[in-house]
Amino acid sequence: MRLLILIVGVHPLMPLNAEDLIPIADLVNKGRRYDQQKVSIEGEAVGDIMVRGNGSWVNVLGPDGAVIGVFCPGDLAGQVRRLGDYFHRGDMIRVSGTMYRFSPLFGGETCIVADGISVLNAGTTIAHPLAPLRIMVSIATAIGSITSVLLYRRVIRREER
Amino acid sequence: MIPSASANDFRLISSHTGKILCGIALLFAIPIVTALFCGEWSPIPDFIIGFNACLMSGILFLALGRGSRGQLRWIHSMAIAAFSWFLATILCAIPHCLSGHFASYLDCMFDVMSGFTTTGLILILDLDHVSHALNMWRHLLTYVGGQGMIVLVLGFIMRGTAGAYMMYVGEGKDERLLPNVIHTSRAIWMISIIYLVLGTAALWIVLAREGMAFPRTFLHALWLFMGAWSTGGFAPQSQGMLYYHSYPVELATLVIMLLGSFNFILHYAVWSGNAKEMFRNIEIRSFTVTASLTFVVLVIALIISGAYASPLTLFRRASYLLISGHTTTGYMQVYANQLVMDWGELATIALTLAMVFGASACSTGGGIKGLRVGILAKGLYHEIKRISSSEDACFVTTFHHIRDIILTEQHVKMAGLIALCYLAVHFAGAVLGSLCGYPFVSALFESVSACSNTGLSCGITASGMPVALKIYYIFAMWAGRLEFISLFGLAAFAISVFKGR
Repeated sequence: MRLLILIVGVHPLMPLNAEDLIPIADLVNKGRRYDQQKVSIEGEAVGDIMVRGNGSWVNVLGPDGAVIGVFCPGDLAGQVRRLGDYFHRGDMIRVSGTMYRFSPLFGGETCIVADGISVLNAGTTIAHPLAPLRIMVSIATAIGSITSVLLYRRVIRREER
Repeated sequence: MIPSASANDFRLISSHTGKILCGIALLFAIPIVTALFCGEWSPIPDFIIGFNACLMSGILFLALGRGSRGQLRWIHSMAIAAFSWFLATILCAIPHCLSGHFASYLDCMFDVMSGFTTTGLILILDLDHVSHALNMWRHLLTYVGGQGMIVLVLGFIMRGTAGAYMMYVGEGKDERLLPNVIHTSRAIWMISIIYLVLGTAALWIVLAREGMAFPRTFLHALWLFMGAWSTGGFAPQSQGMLYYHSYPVELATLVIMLLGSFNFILHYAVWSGNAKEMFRNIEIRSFTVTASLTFVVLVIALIISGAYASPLTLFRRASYLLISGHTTTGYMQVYANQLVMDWGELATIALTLAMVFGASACSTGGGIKGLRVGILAKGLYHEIKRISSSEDACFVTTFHHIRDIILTEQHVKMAGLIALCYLAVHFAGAVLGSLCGYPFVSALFESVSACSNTGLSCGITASGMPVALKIYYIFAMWAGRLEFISLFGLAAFAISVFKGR
């Protein structure tokens, strides 16, 4: 009986519960399973918000390293304040919407058309302090470079004489 | 018969390798300026360390090569080309390693070799949080690799070097735009820089219209141009072309990829007013035939898979990926795993074939090359004609490449040999991939992608893939970019060293 529940529980034709979070890598790799179904994902908003027509594109990076494009109709993307890049950890957002394996609306793109977005954690600044050891190594190697150039030039001049 | 190597042979190779490394060292200035401009202080020491390591290595090799006499021979030039590409890969990987975005130094070397050889396969982790300086470095390497690092050094650093032509050939470019090879190198760079300015401006406008903000618009435009023109396929975000969700960006990069895949001689001919060459050249004709054939197979495969309901969407997706594969660029607007899982094996085979054929000779692209494919097809036609004619019939077959050329046995033999080398490396990579547990079709696809310097992936290339496969792909990218001859030269030199002992 437990086995039967387990098999039924993971059957690919089972309807999805929109409240269940789906890993982004699963959405991308098992697109057939989720095609045109209501899904929810969580991840970091990265890069840029690109306004197009009556909505905007936001790219969401999951904890598994996979990224998916989310089309946010209207001003839904307005809630996202900070986007991930070298200097920032972007807002952690939860997106619910309809997943399209090959969206007919967006030229066959794999994407989610969002119904709702909520910011779970506001983005933060990533500190990139200068590492003292690296500064010392770069100075030491610079001294080495200058010395080697000078020595080489001296040897060449001596040989030319 | 390979003669034993003398101390002078070592000196000759060493001094020229030293000059190339010193030239490469100057490139580190560009990411340093980028870092300063973007206020990224932390990566600056990484690039200073890389610059110094490259410069010191260059000086060391120059010092070892002091007192070299005589002129370069083919074996020296080939060894210099292969050896300096390998050394540059090791040294240019220093900023990658210090960035903390790679799992190992081997992964860093993989990424650098992929950049230099304009392949575009990547092992970088968390690309979306990489500094602008590192992104500039990655794209700069692929841009320089497209034209050729020896072409760069010949054009702007070495002056009046004897044996320059042999080193130029060693880098996989065996045709001259101008009688003088130094002038040829400068002309190649001139063409590339003019396109860089025009292409970046065009992409900048497109990206700005698509909702991106300055200064990222400019940087993305520059990097996308570098990735597309060099047929490298690097992109600044982990999604590649999928990041932009934009048909205009796809169209702009499609045009740049095609331009980058053309022979520099063809660019020069068209710029010199010979526009008809575009329609008469054997490479363009061969590209048109092979691209059309593989496109038909790809469309059939996509219809069978049922992935796209709309014919327009199907055409857009198929044409972009096919041109990306055939020009050996590697930009993808589908996810890697979707290629095999959703597009199906027939589509994978069609794309594999397109990558095998590749771009034009003396271009930034890879693969067997249109010129060789055309020559082999002409050779086959000649043989069929000969067999079907009477024994005393005498006829010649010609092909058009800037001028009409009579097809000789030597042309066919050389084209056949190089094609055979490519096919052997493709097949060996597929077998190795299969032994590592991947399905044969996927393993063949990835192996062809590496050796033809394309960069399309069906998901095998990842940081967690077996080390043996990483090493093999590094070798395949290196061998494919230098078109094997330089590696044979390096091997011959190594044999001559052991003979001397």
